[in-house]
Amino acid sequence: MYEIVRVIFTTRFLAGVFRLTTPIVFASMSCLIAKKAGVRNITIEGTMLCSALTGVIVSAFTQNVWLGLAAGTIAGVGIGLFLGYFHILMDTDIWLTGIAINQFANGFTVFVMFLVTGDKGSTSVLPSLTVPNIEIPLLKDIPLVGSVVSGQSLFTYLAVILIVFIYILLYKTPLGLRIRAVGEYSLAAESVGESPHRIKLIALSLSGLCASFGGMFMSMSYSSRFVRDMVAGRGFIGIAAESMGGGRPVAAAAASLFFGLADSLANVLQSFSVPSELLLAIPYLATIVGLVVYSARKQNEEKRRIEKNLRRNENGH
Amino acid sequence: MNSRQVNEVFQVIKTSLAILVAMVCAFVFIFLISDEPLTAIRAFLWGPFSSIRRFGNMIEFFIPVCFTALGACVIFSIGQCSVIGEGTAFFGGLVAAWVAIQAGRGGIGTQILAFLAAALICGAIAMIPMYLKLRFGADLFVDSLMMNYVLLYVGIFILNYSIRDPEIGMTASYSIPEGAGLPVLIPKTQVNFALILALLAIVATVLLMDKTRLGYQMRLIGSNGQFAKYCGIPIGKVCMLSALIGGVLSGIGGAAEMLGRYERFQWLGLPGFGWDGILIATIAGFKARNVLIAAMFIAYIRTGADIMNRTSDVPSELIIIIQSLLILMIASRGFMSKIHQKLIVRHVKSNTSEV
Repeated sequence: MYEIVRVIFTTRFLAGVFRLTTPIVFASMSCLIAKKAGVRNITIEGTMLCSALTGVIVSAFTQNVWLGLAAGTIAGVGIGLFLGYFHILMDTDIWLTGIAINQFANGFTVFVMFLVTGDKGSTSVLPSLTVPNIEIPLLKDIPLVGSVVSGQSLFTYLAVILIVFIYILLYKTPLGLRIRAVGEYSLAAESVGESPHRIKLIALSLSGLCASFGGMFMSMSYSSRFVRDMVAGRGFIGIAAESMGGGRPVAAAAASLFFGLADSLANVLQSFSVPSELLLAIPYLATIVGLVVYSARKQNEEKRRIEKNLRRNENGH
Repeated sequence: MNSRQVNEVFQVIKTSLAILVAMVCAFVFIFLISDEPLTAIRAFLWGPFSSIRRFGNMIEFFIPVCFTALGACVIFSIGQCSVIGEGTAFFGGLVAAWVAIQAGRGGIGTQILAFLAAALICGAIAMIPMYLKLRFGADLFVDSLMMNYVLLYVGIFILNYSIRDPEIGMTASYSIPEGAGLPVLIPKTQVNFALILALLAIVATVLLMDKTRLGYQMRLIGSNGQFAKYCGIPIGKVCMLSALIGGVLSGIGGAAEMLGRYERFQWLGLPGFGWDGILIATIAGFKARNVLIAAMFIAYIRTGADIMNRTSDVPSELIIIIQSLLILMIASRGFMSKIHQKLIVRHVKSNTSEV
């Protein structure tokens, strides 16, 4: 037990938590912005896979990491619009579209990987590039904190910036207001001359953009190549984190941190004599428990609000 | 022809056209990437019928996904999206293997016990996310999805700590006792008794959905939940029963796959039957009576893809891509909606002119 505690309170462990939280933050932001516009985007998992592969292939062939990043984001936005086309313009059930697009991404990435490398397992033969880790000038000199906060992947800092960006976008800009209006009640938005379709498509392309960063983090920073199914449910966990955050960007990020922690704990405890299979189940079990607690609390609040209103009405009469 | 028949004819036309478009896409892809496209296409189209063993492969593919597709039809009939079929099919296989290994001998008793245990346990598991949804309003999709991963790791834990055979060089259970496996129906293949169970399950599900009060209540909740509620239908109870039946079906699917085709339990990942089940159910329009043909079709193209993968330079994943495009076209209400509109208008006009 003492050993476990000692490992957990090291800067390396904490730095690992931030690293594992990064893709989940991207996924939860991706889910959040789509949900605000009233679309349940469950294709995040597949979007991450496609962007991860695109980034790797383009960076390997151009030997330019920024071109790789650009291509990966384009792929992400493309999947967002693909979902938008089928769900919004072709009126397809959102769950079925999502499931089909995820399957599509599973097959498509392996298919393309095989065409490019002749291998169905990973892209290890490709000389793909990775995004650098960044030392932050002043922070890195602070003892302890420095070695946790500094030297992380560019994507990790991007994730922090993205949380702020999404918050400002949603709550401080006209576009954010429109997105939320369309999500809350699209007829009202339509009645003042706003096209819900357009707003939803914009939100979905932003959603794809967020997810693409998460995917490229996996293949161009966390690991240096693409491996089939490498996202391993992180896109789905991001959806859960968003639900637990109750639609608030900062709360969703906090929930993501919780999943990052559970993920790293499972990694660390594996080296002790705890059955690793059960540990691997922790993040998923935590999601279920967290969701239930969150939903139950929301339900109670709702009930109390209705009761209060009823009482007020009775007193009024 | 009444308007319901017009709709049904339209659905058939739309599905066939979607299949045609998807197939043309597949051929275009094959021509683009293959050095010997005609060989690849022949392997893909005729492969499943070229030998008894390959035909058997197709039926073997059909059996588990038929069960999970029926399960998906039942669960989705109430208008909810639960993807628990994936986890329960996995767990059904585990439970069946566990029971057979613990029983230590074959025979009909062991088989019935294994199927019963798989059905009941998986039915109970499938009700958990539904209960959390009904009681607390927790998101059904996310909960059922997370449940799948929990089932996977708990299942591997049970494999490692309860039934793992330490004497073989891979992670697998002790072998399932002689005579606990299902009898083979077609020699030289692994097509087994589970095929009959699958066909019976189709009949039972069709009867349940179309001829019983419960089936009607489920469909009513699916088409208009508010109306069902004001009719006095016990929503909670019916939803729980639908989850139970869905779980039982996919659990039996997993058990049938395990006892029909495996000597040991050796799944270390989710087998994918649940996802395929949902896709097949979509092609079937979530109607149990269409599951036979939809599941056969998917089994046919997937087996063809495997054969093409082995005999030519086209990877089988191409068909996964084509299959998802097919689902998108079939599920979309916008695809061919103008033609649908025209058909209905013409139908109404012809009816009014008669009067």
